Amino acid sequence: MVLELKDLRAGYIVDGDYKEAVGGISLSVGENEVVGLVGESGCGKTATALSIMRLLPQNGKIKTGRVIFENRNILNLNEPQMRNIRGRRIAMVFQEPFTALNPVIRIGPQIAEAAMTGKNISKQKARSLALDLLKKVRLDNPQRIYYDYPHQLSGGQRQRALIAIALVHGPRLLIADEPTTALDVTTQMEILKLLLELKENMNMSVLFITHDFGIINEVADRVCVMKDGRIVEEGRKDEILTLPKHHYTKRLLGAVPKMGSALQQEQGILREDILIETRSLAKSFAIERGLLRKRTGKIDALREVNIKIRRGQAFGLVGESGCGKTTLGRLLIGLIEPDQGEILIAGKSLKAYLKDIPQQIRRMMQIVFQDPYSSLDPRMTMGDIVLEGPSILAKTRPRKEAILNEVLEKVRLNIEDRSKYPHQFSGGQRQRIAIARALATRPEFLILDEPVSSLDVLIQKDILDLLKSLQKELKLTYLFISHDLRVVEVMSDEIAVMYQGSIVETASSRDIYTKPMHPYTRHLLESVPVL
Amino acid sequence: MGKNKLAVFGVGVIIILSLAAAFAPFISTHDPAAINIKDALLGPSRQHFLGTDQLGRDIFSRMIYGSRVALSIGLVAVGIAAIIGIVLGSIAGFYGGWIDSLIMRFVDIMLCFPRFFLILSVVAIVGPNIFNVMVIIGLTGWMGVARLIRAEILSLKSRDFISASRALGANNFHIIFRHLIPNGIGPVLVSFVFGVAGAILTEAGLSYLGLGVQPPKASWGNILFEGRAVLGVGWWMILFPGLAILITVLSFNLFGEGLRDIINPRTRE
Amino acid sequence: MLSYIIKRIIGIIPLLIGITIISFLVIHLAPGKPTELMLQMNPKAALEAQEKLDKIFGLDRPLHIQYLTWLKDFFRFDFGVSFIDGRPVRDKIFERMPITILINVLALLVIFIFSIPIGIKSAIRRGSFFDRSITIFVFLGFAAPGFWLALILMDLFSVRLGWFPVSGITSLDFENFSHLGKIADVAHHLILPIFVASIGGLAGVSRYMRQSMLNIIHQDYIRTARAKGLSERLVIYRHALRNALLPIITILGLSVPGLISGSVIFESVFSIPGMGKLMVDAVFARDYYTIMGGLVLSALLTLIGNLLADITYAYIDPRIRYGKK
Repeated sequence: MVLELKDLRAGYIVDGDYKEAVGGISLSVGENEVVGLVGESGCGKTATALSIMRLLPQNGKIKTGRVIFENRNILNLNEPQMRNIRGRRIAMVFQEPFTALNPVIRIGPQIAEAAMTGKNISKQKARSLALDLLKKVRLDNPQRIYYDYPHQLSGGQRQRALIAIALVHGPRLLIADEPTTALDVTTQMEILKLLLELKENMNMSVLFITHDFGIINEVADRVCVMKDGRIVEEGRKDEILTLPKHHYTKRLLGAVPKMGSALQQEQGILREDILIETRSLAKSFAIERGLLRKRTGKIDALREVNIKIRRGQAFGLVGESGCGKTTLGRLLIGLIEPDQGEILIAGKSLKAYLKDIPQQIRRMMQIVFQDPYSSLDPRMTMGDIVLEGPSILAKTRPRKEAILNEVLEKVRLNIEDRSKYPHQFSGGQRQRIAIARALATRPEFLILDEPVSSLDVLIQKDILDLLKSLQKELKLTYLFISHDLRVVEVMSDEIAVMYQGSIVETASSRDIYTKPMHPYTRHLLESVPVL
Repeated sequence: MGKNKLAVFGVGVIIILSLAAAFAPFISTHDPAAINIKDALLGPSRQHFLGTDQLGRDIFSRMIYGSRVALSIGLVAVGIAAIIGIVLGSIAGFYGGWIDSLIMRFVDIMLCFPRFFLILSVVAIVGPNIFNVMVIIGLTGWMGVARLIRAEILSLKSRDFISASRALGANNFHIIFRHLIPNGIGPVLVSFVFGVAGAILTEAGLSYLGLGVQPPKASWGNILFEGRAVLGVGWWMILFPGLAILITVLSFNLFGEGLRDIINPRTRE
Repeated sequence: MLSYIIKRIIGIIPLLIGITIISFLVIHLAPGKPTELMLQMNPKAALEAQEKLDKIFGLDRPLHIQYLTWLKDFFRFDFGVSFIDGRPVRDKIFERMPITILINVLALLVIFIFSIPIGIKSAIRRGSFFDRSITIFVFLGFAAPGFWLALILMDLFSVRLGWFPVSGITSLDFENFSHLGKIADVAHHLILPIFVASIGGLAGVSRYMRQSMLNIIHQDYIRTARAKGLSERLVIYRHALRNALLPIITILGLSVPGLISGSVIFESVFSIPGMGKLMVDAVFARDYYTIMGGLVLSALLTLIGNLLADITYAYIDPRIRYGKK
């Protein structure tokens, strides 16, 4: 037993009150074992990790319990003793690689500094150790990266550097708190494989925290399921995945979108009725520098994109960050203008309208954004937000009332809450408000730009189910954009895969899943953590 | 929290001050302009709460009337600055492009001048009196507001709810009045309050140099101006106006801080 | 890096032009010509005399010509002649500039040296007695009128206690002092003015430093540093401080116009022959050329200060120095 938690209780003091985050959990991590700690956000998994490292913020408190590491209760250690353990015997890798490195110190010295902590080694020795580690985490060109600053590296590279820092002293236990959540899917898989490989080579144990059961399947040996500060179920991975006992575990497992259960083509789709079409659509953004805003270069966000979306379809658009999918969404909805090519709505080209897209066309397509926090005006009430569209169209008050009632009922929100402000709603509810707002103008076409990516996995399922039923009920056409192939595959009947501004493959979702043609599509499929 | 108490204290003082200014004729014990040489330079007493100046004028009454000057200059000057700043900053932030560059260049240029030097220069031409002082302080103080509003608008412009509004068919008018202004007004109000504090300090400095409000009109700054001639003898002419300025400016600052705290947590999670 | 510096210097040119235009307009858009006001003080002067004066000062030519002429002279360092004593404005300004610059630079140094440790300590020991006292001091420093403080200090320390001289920058028998003695004498005279000049800045920068440190302490990379097992001392001084100092440089640059403005006040109170006092005297006498010269040069000083601050910042912040790959 490398690590044992016995009845650990910890929490935070907020506004003078103690709020418990970890409510008496016990778990253990054995030698060379990966234990996955899975649960939704707010369930206390990060608090648990920080308690083990005794890195809770100033308002955090560990109330009771024991943390036994290498046969000692480390909660009893004083701070200097604890510092001997931190970074050396127990190391931690956090979620956000973009902010976890000091921006004004080069990468190499940050690793070397970790190497020199507590050990009396020369600077040169530390430097060569750091270089070795950079190689170990499979960074190309470690010599150059040693002297780079964090902002010069990509997210994946930064996370590798952070792993290098964590592994400098060959710790016994590595705590990884959602280390890949902020990364692209393909990068994610690489990092996961790297972690497994390092674990084997260095004879390390890992406590892997995540909210994604798919990732658990890829990395864990044993699993602990956490809810509201308690462990509700634990066991070997295979058992948990095939025979979950606790209802919450079952719900969590059920919430992971299962690829391969792709939608059948809806009977109602007319092959010829093309609602949205783009022809050679291209858009680039200028990089402006300096006082006089000189163009020093351009980024090709979209290159010659052709898609056809048929009425009644659920069309999926998948790609990693920077591939241009968001740009495409915004072009279609008229928020930005194409540099080249045209967009046809129900056969009519938008080119004729230039900037002034008439109301009828505008109200026919709506969009739901990713971030339920920033897509609602914090100073407007829920009712006003939902009715913004009809207000712009100058509908009468009784008409607006009717629309509000109708639309809130469809997204299952309470009309009594209409005077509340966005911050009084949860993330899932806010997304419902955003959907209600989009539906209030009776659109025919709905663009969903990563609508569930910011939501917790169970809420995600709720919203996805809602979207599916809404499509059937209101006979909507969807463009579903996401970086998560699992979600796209489950929501769409046809999928376009985007990479660096171009569409590399378009096929039915069944075909994408069973016979992917383009190498990038295959790479994407392989990188998706599935059950 | 202690912070709230302080903000309330600030508001309290401001209210008292406003009342004093409004009811000046009723609160003053003497005519602030009444010259009475035989009573010159008397220390604080029951007759003259805060003493008299070289011309025998009652300091207490002059200070009460001085509160009128302070508040009116503060409000008018900042009002002017706010209007100019909001208009220019909004145009720059909203339209972007070359208008933005142009306006921001202008702001940068204006910010290069030490504010006092600029104010002095204009005073040299138009002459020192209360009206000119108000306008000049306003004309030289709008740059901060402009930058602030521009920054707010820029950050708001990229928020998704603005995009959603556009997708719903909103025109610029709707976006500005329904979204940008309600969200952007908070920091502007805060800077308004701090601006009043600054304007009061600036006027005091000007009057102290003899280039602001001219006697016999009473301003806290020009009581100090006259006081410098009798430094060492008439300490009451130095202490009281200075304290008045200190407390007033402090109160506005505390009020501003409190306002800032109210504005912030609501828009964040 | 070099290209950044060159770009910044080039970018200054439009600002310079703007400054000269504004300075010119400020004076010349006034109702009444400068000569009229001059002659107002001497009502017996005939219209003829005014026209003669107009011709001498070139005021009979169109505005833009006047501007260009003035600008041309300006670049040749001919700022015109003072109405007060007929001396070239250039001489008067250059006599006074060093003193003002000296005091302000020293004030900047004082601000820099003291407010950083104060800010750090306030942040680390947030809510402590030290922190709260400093906060009180900051609020008072923001609210107290500089000239009032100057007057009180002068009254207390110079008049009553006699510790410091009342006015000027040198004593009467300055010439008789040794080299070291001369420096000591000037220093003695400057202590109070520098103190008064730096109060506002001390209050502001130490508060800003505190805020900056507090923000940074909550950043993720500080957590990483702690997770490495580094001592708290290293975490604060090696990781947090470097990041917190960056914006301070910009702030110091931005406080230059404020400091120069403040010169007006304390130079008046302490009778120091600097640019501030020059401006005040010029304003009283409606000495336009001096005013214009003072405006442009003080703005120029600010511009240079900002430029230095920007370049230093760009040098120190690797995100700007090395850009993105």
